[in-house]
Amino acid sequence: MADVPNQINNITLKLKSKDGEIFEVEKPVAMQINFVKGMLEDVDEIDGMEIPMGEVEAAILAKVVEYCKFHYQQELNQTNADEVDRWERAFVQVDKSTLFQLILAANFLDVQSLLDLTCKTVADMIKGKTPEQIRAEFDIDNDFTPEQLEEVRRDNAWCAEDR
Amino acid sequence: MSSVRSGASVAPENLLLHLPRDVALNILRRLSPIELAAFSQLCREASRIADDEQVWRAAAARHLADLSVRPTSCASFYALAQKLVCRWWLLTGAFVAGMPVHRRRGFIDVHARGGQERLIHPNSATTCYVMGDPDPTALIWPTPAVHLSFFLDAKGPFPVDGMRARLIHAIENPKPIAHPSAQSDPASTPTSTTSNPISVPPLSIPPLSHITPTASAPSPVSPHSDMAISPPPYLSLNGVPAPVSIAQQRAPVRVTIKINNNVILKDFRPEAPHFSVLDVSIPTHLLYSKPRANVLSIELNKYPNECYWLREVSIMPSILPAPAVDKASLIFPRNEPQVSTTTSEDQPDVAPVTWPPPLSLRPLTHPSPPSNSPRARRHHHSRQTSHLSTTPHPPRSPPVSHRTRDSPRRAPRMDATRHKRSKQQPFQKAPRHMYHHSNYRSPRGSSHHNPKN
Repeated sequence: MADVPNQINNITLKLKSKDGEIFEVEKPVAMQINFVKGMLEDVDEIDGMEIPMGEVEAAILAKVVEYCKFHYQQELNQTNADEVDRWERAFVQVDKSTLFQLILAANFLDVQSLLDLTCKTVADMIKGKTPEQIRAEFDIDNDFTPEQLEEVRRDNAWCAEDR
Repeated sequence: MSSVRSGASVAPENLLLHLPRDVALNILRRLSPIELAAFSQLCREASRIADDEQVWRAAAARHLADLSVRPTSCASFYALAQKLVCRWWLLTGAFVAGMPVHRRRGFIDVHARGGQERLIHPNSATTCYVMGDPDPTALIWPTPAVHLSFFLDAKGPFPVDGMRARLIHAIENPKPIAHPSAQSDPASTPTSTTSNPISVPPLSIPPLSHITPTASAPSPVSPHSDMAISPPPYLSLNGVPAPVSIAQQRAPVRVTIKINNNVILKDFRPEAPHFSVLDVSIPTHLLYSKPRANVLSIELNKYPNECYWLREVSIMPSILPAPAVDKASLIFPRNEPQVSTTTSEDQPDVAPVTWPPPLSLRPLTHPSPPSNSPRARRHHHSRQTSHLSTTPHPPRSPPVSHRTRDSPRRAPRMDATRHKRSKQQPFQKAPRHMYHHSNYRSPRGSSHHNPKN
């Protein structure tokens, strides 16, 4: 990924992860995170300000920052949609644990586009699968009693016949 | 959950089920109905998460929208939708053409075939053909009301932005019914089948004068139909006409349509004499989502001086475009098949290729009666007997000449059990709540129809 071009405004912010790691990002990049944007609304002197990012771990925060940087650059360079789509597909090629942590981080930091991207990725993992396959994919235990399962299956029989 | 809310890296194996609700819904909203159904079968928690009406609506709306922009997918979508999109179930009280019309307490009380739930297609309506039986007394008149109950599933993916009911109806007989007590009234000339036949073109509805009581003993069972027939409410059980006021005889048909006992159209005057179509919008806030909770009632004023002929009652979600009505197709000459339905157990669930199918394209032939299928017949009769009126019936007119015994349009005939049961009930021992207008009681418990009140 190309670096963010130099800006006239060189104000940087320090995003601090749960485990204490500091990520220095330029203000326009950090302002894509609505959580940060809200914190800076009433602050005059923000240069070099250290902002705690809650329970978001460093590895996840790094991904969030990477995402924000790319989209900031994409806005500047007017990157075509195909390239953005390709980059995003590669961005979410992570293990499921990271993916869910990205979802939680995007939800907490209020990065809507990242949240949509990650949710769409999870939805794509569900699509086209039977309940058994989804259970295996996400390691979910079937806690239905036989009676409950029968009832649920009967309730959903209308969609199961043509599968 | 607080750690999750603060973005903690909680990593249980099944974190999918521990996401905040709005995030989980963000995921589920991207699923199709069939995928939603699969998700709900994962475990109890997944079932609870997926039990969200908005998610189902979004899924259905998206699929319907996809359909609208990709018409070539209509057939495949329709085939799928037959099973998954529509969860509008037609339950007790629904009409199906060819089904016996049971009259109880003065009501036409029609039951879906075998009491089975019926899947309603998304691009068709819950269409009910009241005239499924060739018997002209299947006319709503003078029975005061028809009730159609239906189930709106809250989990159904249909966007419940209201519903629409369509009534196709006509007034066929503007003449007053013969009545001895009203013969002095020049406006109420007695009706005779020979001297003064009722002209009802273009419909092949026989004159109604045959229901004038006679001295002969009533046959407990109709000779040509398995319907439980009750006399009009102004006739007493022993054949002596009950008095009907002149005002009543001069009263034109006025229809009141209710949904869940809320009046949505009051004293509507149907157009006469030909078919007319009435579309009624049913607001969402009047609909319930519990099973069998919604009841559409079509009620007439008492003793109208006209025959109100209700051909179809359709209920459809408002999201669907109203199907076009080709009125020419609704008017058919005598001796032509009158009524049909799109619903039959014997009909395969074949996906039509049009979206939505115009009303005029729906098959106009009567469905194969359940008796064509031994299994269907057994099931049908077993349910039918549970809804039987145990009272005998007055004599009825002979069958319409063009209908033969083997006609596939004939309503399913009664089985031996029903005959036997009917014969076991002497005519004079009919329950008080049956037939006579003075004993009429609304199924809702109201006795406002009782003229003595």
